[in-house]
Amino acid sequence: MMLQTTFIREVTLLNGAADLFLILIGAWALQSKDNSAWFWAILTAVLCGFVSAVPWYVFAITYVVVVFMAKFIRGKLWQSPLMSMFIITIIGSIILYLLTIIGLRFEGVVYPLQPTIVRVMIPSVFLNLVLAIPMYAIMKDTAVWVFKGEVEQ
Amino acid sequence: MKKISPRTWQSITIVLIVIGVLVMAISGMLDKIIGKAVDPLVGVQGWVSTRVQAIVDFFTLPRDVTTLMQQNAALEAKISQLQTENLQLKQQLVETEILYALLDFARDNPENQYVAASVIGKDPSPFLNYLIIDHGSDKGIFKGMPVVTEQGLVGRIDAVTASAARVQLLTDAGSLVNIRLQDSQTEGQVSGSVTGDLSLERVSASVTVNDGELVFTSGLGGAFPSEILVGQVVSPEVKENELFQTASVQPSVDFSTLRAVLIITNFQAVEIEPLVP
Repeated sequence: MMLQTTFIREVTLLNGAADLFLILIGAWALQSKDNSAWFWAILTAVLCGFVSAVPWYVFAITYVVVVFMAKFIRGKLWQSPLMSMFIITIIGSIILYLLTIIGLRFEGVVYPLQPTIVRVMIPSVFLNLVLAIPMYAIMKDTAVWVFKGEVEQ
Repeated sequence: MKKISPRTWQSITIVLIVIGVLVMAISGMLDKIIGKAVDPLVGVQGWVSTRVQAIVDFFTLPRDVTTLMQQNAALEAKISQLQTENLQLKQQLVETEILYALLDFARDNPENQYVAASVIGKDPSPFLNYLIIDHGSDKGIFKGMPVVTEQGLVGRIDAVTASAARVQLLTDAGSLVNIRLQDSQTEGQVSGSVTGDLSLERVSASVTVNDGELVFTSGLGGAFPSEILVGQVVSPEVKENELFQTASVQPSVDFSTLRAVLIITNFQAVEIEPLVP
């Protein structure tokens, strides 16, 4: 959370910024062999909902959908895991940003479509894709380390 | 009378010779003689000393190298520590300058009570222009309180916990501030956007608005106190058949470098929504 609210939010492209949680949850859901990704998705959604002015259900729905997608895709595209990561990142980002626009519309904030897409959504999706590669590698190593004991048993 | 023995004469003679030599040496009369006698000895002494030193170095140098390496490592560690301290001091200096500026502003505006807070983060979503500050309700900060710096209006408190608060910036798409233009004495509104740009709204097309005109809060609506600098009008534009003119507003606060803010704690925003028909 500290990384997201400080470093990641400072690295901007136009008005877009990456969403570290989305990528981490997607990468972990692709790697983990248990159901811990669901727990992390809910926990992160609660944290983000608490810190951000975006309604909490936006994060909750997005992160749960991302985990669901990752679990679904994992069985289908097992030969190209990085492609799975990119697909999850793109679809997850679009869901997150569309739900954000809708959620904030309910709060009374109207976003003009063209500048929102050009200056926020597309740059944010691009930054998410850039972050997806190192995050995938980190989560892969983490999963190997975490599930090593289980494999040995 | 007792006869002086030859032994005594010998001693007296020796003493007199020694005294004479000493007197001559002190007076400088023997310098040339001493120089000629000593020079070869000094040469020999130097030669012997150099060789002895070389032999001593040969045996002690490895130990010295080790000692030097240790000293070098210790000095490098010391340099790193000093560089870190230097950076920290520079950081503190910048923070102190910011706090001095805020203090000057607070002294110049004694009608308000302020709480200073540091900016510790931004909202995780790129759609929102919100800041997170390091003081909350424990310091008497509540929702709706205006946030300023010595440069002007920053925004308002949007949410509060015991030890932190979230500030909605002027530039946020959901922000709307009632303003007054300094020269034309006209009221209007300044709204934020998703791109962080401010735009002037609700200013009649019949009013002459000048480029560079200062924009202050009007106090209407009860959300902000009056007479706080918001920014400057940029490129006002009157379109044909439009009731209101449009313009951009350059904010007086540089939001990209914002590190500390003041919260006006003796101002409580008025909630007028229930009164709106």
